[in-house]
Amino acid sequence: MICPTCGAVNEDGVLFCEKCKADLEMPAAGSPPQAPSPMNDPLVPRPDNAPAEEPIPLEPVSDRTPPVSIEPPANADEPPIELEPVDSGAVAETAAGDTAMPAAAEPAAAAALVNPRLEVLRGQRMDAKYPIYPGKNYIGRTDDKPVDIDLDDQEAPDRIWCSRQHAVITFENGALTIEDLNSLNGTFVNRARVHPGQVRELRADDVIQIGTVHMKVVTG
Amino acid sequence: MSAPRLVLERMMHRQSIAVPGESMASYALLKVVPAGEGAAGLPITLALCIDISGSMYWADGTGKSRLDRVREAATAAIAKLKPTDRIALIAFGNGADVVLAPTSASEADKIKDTLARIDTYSVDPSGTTMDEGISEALRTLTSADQAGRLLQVIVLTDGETSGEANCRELARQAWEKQVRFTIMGVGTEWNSGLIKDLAKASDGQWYYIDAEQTDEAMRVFLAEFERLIGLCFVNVKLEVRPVKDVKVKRVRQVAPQIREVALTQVDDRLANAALGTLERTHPTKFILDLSLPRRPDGKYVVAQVEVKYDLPDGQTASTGAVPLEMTYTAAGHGYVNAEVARHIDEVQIYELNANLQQAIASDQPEEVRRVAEQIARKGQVLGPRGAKKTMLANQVLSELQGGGRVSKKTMLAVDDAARSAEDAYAG
Repeated sequence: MICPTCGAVNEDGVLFCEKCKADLEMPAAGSPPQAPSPMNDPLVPRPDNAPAEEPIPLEPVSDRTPPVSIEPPANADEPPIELEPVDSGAVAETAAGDTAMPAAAEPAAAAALVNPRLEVLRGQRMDAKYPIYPGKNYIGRTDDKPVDIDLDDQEAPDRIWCSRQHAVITFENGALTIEDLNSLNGTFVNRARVHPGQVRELRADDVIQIGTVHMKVVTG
Repeated sequence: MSAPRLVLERMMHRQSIAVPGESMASYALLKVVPAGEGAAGLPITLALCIDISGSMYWADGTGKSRLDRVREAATAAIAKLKPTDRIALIAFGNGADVVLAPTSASEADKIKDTLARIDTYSVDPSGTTMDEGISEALRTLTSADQAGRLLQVIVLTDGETSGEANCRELARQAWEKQVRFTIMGVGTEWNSGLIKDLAKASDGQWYYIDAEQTDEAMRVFLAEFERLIGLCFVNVKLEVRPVKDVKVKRVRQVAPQIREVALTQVDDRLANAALGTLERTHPTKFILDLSLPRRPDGKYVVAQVEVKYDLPDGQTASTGAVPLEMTYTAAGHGYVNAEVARHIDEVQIYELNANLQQAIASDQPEEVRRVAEQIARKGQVLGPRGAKKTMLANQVLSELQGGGRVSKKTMLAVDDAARSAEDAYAG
């Protein structure tokens, strides 16, 4: 693998360049090693439609794999989604977001979400619905610090995998994003890990897994 | 009551890997965990060398001289020593003198009293000859009646020393005689390159004490003495036996502090590394860089690892050989183990810092900015664990923006923070 920053040759799978120590991408499984896509190079300017004041990599140039999902990218492994009309664009984009280019999520293309909420697909209380309000919505277990979405009663008492401050969903300008708050067991969207520090955009029908609880993003 | 022993735990960076090319780099985390109880740490003889040159009387705006702060810190730290431990005091300025020969830690009043008067002996304060201080310390520690004990020199200085080449030579000799160095630098006038070299040459530690913060000397002394009294396992050696076509590329200690460990390739099938003396109180963790060949899907042992060590009573023990296993799945890479990933992130910051220090020293502002930005970003990924590193990298960036130069103080602080592994953060 050639380091996109300094051109040094590194073995595949090396997490950062031996010479300049810049992040390197994990080559995808099943394909020959290839040059990292320019989107992941911090020195390449962002496309024109991106807001200039944002830090350049939308997602920190990650040394961990872009989430290459082994399953088909749509939620095939989840309980069948009810036959409500689904915005086909959103599904297509979810699929794209799941594969090679997580950094390519384009905020401009996302339809504004209305009245978003989380519906529990797996958990101790299947009927629970958690509305998402504008601003930050903290997910976790209320202890010394309160959270907005409390999953305390959703996990079996002997299998508490959810951290106290686990993740935060931000609802701003009609767009939803999720960030992991350095939780012990991680936050997953459509089975791909959201690393701490990474801001992952959420679309309708995305499935979030926190601890043992699965929740679907529902809008409208 | 079970005797103290070491237990080896291991985990791979990825649950499974796919190797599309000829080989793939992978990482394993080894935790060397102390277990058992009973034995106290090894008896230790310390030689504490204190710089009493003129600048040690500066108060740096804290209302107390550097020397007073160091004295208070040393007094508090010495109180932590075991009754079997001994301490010698050496003052150096222009010349050096042993002001207290090795004295049992149980004679606390005598030690305290000498420490209080350390600047009143016949040492001329008009210079800094650290080499003479170190030379006196070595002579004291290597006398015959200190045999069978851990030997440790602690040097505290705040200035550039004369006789640098001599210092390096002494550090090398110290290593041969199994004497470890801890070097503490107060303020920003000391030669950080020299001090790091000395610590490295003797397998020791270095600390940076911010002169403008009243409690820094206390914090550093207590941390170092805590570490020293917990030392229990000596001559610790790691042996890695990779299977055919697997290569062990590197070993780095990642906790309690980050440092590169020298790896000796004995032959294709055995590599070993000297891990030095380990503590009884904390696990010590290491990252192994491996190169794995292509394999059909399935689970394979890629290497056997074993840690051998000596106990305080002189007996040799071993953790037994533990296999490192990796699952191959051509369909895709498995999940990343978050704990291993965090340690590798910290190693990356540590190595970025080395590039940063070099770029600052060679006055390449563009490179400094680029590397500092990478550190800041990486620190952010680490969340609370990386907060200090991010903050300091941003400090570098703002100084660069403001005056075009990075201050020595910030350089030292970044350097100091980069090798620290924050405690595991549990959510």
